[in-house]
Amino acid sequence: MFNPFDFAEHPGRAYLVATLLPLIPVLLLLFAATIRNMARSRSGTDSFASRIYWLFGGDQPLKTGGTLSILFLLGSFGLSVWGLLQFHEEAHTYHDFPQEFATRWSERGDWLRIGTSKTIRPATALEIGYHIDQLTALMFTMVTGIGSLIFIYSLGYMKRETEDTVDDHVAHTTRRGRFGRFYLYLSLFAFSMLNLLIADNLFQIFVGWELVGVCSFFLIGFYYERKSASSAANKAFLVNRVGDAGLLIAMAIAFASFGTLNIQELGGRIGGSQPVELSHGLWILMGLGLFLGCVGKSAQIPLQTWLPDAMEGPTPVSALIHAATMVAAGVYLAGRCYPLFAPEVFLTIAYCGLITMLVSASIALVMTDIKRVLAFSTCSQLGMMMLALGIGAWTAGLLHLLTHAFFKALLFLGAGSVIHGCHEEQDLRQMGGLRRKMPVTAYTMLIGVLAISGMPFFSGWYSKDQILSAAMGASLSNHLHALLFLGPLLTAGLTAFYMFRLWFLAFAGEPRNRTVYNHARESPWSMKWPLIILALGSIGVAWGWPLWDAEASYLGHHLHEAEPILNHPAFSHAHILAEEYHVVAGGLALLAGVLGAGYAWSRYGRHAPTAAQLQEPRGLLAKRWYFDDVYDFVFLRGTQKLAEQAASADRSSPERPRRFTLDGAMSGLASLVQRGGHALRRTQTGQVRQYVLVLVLTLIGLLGMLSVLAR
Amino acid sequence: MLAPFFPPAERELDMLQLTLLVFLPAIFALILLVWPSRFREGMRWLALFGAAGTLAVALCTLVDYHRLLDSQSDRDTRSLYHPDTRLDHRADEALERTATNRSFLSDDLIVRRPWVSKFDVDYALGVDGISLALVLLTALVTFFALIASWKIETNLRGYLILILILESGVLGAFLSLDLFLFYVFYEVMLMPMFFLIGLWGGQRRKYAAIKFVIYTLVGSVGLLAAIISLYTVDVRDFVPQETARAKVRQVQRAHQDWNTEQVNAQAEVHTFDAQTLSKVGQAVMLVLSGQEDRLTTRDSKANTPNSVPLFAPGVNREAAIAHLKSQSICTPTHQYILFALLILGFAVKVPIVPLHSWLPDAHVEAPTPISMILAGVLLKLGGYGLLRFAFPICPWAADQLSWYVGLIGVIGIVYGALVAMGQTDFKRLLAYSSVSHMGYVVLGLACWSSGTKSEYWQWGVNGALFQMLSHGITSAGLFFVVGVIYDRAHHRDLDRFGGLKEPMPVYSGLSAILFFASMGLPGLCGFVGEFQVMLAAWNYCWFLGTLSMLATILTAGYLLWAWQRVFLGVNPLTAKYPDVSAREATVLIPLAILTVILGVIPGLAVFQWTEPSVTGWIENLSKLKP
Repeated sequence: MFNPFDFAEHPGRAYLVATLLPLIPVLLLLFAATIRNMARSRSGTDSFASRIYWLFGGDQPLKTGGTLSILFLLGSFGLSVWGLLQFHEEAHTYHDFPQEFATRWSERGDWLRIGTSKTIRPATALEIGYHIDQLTALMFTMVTGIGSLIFIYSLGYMKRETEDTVDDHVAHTTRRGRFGRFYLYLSLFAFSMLNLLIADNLFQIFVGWELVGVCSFFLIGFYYERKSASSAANKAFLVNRVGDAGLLIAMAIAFASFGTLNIQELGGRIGGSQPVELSHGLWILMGLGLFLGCVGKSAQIPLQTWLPDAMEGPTPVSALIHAATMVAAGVYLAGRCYPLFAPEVFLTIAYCGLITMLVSASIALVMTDIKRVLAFSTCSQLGMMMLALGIGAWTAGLLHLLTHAFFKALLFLGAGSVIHGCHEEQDLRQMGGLRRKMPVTAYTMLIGVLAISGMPFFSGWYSKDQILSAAMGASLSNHLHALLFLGPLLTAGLTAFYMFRLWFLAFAGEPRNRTVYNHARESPWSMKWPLIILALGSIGVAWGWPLWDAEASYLGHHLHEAEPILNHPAFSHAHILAEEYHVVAGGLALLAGVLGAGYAWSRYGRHAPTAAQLQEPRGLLAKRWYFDDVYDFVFLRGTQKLAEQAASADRSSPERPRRFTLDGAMSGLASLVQRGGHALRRTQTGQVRQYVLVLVLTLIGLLGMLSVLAR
Repeated sequence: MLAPFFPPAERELDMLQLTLLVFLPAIFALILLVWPSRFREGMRWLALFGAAGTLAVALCTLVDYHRLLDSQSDRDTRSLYHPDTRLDHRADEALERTATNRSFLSDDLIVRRPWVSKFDVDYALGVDGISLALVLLTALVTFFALIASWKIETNLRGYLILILILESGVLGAFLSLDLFLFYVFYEVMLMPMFFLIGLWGGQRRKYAAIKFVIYTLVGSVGLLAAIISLYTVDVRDFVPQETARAKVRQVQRAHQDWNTEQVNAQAEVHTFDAQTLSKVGQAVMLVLSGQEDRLTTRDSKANTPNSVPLFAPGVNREAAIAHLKSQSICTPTHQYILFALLILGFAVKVPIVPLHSWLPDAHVEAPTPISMILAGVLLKLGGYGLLRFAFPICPWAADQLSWYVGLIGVIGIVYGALVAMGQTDFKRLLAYSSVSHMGYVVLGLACWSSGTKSEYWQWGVNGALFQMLSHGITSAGLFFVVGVIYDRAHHRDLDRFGGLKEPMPVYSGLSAILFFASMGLPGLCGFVGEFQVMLAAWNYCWFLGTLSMLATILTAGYLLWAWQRVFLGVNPLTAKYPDVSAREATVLIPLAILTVILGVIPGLAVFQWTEPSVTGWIENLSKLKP
């Protein structure tokens, strides 16, 4: 019998349990919500129902749901910390027994099996399983840790939802609070995300992939009274579906060629060079399909348009899902599937990342909504990770993923704290001087800004420095790709500029809108503590000894142990060059950051601009390079037009009168037969007989045809 | 107690069980006929009781079938997979026993009794995983449809009787092993459905009902023609030789002056038995594809893994092949026409484009419970027919035309999704989504790749079967979702809904599960079948596979836009709607739970007992191709 708590023999099962833990509050909340709502609609007439209703909290939303979810996620976090420590210990003690180590930390089993054979043959099973390595262990701890902080933060941020009735000022309506539902979705998200992380095969990753997508859909559309929110949710889901179609194609290629979806097995069969089972074209297509999935989830160009709109969701959601974890899943998958990619695919990844990085950073320069700035910054930083993966800097890219999760979650939660304190004001132009009203938020956010700008000794510096030096190595080894270094360098400057601009506009100078300022207040402790802890993480999570050596990061070393070994000559050459020019690259990056920050200070910090000086942004950047408009016109309208055409070609309706339709053609055929019947009989004796006649005649005709043709 | 009625040789328990399964609803319909009209509420309960009884018998049959699978074990194969438990093997055994007048087996879940001896029509019923899955679905959906019918007031008695007769017809069709019997049940369904739409429907009910009947009749004609032409085939080398010899004796008695040759020429054996005819079809395929040397008799000592034993024991192989070749069934034209006729017959029911026009009209006009049955059960007859009859009986033509069949499926998927996106009527949208989803069934069946890669086809067929089940559950649920809101709003215009999530949270939550199951979200049942079909389709032909994958974007599109228009936003008109009543929850909650169960543990819940049958089906057909 399968014992999930057998941690002595299979310490990996701790991760399995930790993954399943958040499902418990999901089920409890679903159950409670169903009973409560069923009882609510009857509580007026039925005394038993009203008693049940009272038992489940009456008109108050399910507040215990929040506490429950937090407790279970903290449980997951505890298990993952234990797992991480255990894993590191065993990585040394079992160093010489890789086989045993593998059985202790990974297991797989059938989910579906076809065929009679007892022995495993290719393409006869869809499996589920878990596989723990350094990357999974670290990511798992990061997700549960940051997740717990954000869960706690939400207690304060979503306080309004605990009331019986909530006014929605955007949609101009009142509604019941949705506290329980919020935590239901969050917990379901936690489960799906963790499932995605521990999965050892593409199928299971796809399952988690779609489930986080649907959680994201519900959370973006959390304020579904607002048209903008529900449309943003639809957009996110549909754009992601495009990416998922790519993932489906990749899985189909892998399954048809190798008969398995297990990533370790696939990696063993491919391992960076073209396998015999696959033509070169299909190999590239498989990689591109996988990458298209990553592009959708990580909001890379051309599927980046959903992420800024996703900011319609509550801010903790933006922090957890659309900054720290779910959008990083694309980078994670690209890193996981590293051995499966063809060289052409790596090049695509690098340039896709480059373009996204630059375009998004340029848009972030002019945005005035505090959350949109951060959203575009997320796109840009994810692009930087993709670029790192594309040029062979696996460790650097994933290290940036981990450090970014800390400081971006911090920045989003800080922004949430500002929005919460300023009563739903999100426009930077209405803020200013807030550091006096909310010091904790202001200075923790400053730490985040310093970290994302890559200032020395902050976590962002370690990862960015590694990426920049790898990029320099790549462009030096092949001068055709010089852009792959200049791009990140420019982005480093742009990032520092728009992040400091954000901070100066919000916290420095004098208040631009007195009413906002006067009503602003610091957030409660449930929101401040997560900020402080995340700020500490943003500083020190990547530290190592010596502190001033970016290569010495402990986190980086641990990640490096999981790096798949690739036999790719261009990468190894670039790697040597990167070592050589490390200091130059780091220095240039730092210079770019300082320049960007300095320019932001000179424009927004030295003399705080007045509200009049900050006009509505216009032009290419404000229009987001017209991506949204073009997509809207071509794909959305195009599909809708096509659908309308198809609908009206299928049948005519009063709204869509049309002469020739498929339905009409079939009916015409029928009436032709009918007329033939009339002509034959010349009498009309009721419809049923007609049909019988038609039936008999057709039957005779068909049988005649058969007997003639078959001879 | 029953002993006096049954002589020992005919005492066959599974006959009682299967017959009861088919006719229990009809028996309750008879009781309803004489039920005093004073007890009006009692009628509903009685009908519901009948449906529940049928469901219970169906579940007992599932247990029996599982025991049957479990009764044989073998070291070389996985448990439940023994070849002797497959339908064709059991059917052969039963034929053999009939021919030799031995006693029937009480536990093989096969019934065979002569019915119209003059035309060799048997009353033959049989259960395997494929039919049992759909039988369970039928019993389940009818049960919920009857709960959904609680609000029907006009002419209640007639309505309930018709639904129960309909159920009997469908169950009979799913369980028939005899083509003629199948046809009879197939037609039995037609009339109740005609009246249910035509009398209890909406404004244009007469038009919709007649359209339904005409389309179905056109299909039936094709089916009937195919069945009659199959009956003309001489199957003497495929049936137990006792039957053939009996036939010879019969001819000899009639024409005592004839010599042996004349008698032999006249002593043709004809049958409506689908299993026997499928053996003929497989033999024809081998002959037509130049592999006749693989054909052997079932008792031959020289059988190798490569040989295909199709002829009955005791048959002279060479003579049998020569005899088969001399028949017109063994010509490509005949095979093509036969396959086309069968496809026509079942395609109307699936339905495929362009024969789908009846479906939106029928759905829009039919009352909610009838829509549930129509989408949940009746469409599956098309898929079942393809799976059970069209492919095994005409494997050669099916193989030759498989790409076109797959293309038809893909056209259905894409076209149905596009047209669904352009609808404003909630029910019509769901009707077209049925066209789209059933396309996966056709596509999955068609993925007949080469013999060595048969496991991919197996994924396709398994996926097709599962897709039928999951679509049966989700579409029945979704049509009920429309019914619930129609009861409150009295219209189905998508553009006039909105904001339902706030006043009706339970309803919205359950609808969300069904919506996302229909969209193919992993963890819910819609995903499993579609994913399997996609894997198979890609291996078969990248073009069809890619289209079927890209169509998931369209599916998400029309469902999400419908979701947004119905449930999200603010709408003062809907703000006071009451949430689901206890009766409505009784329908929606089990269906929602089923979608989750089938989505999370499809292996335990379904595949463990359907997959052995599919494996047998695949092994029979895939070995015909080198």
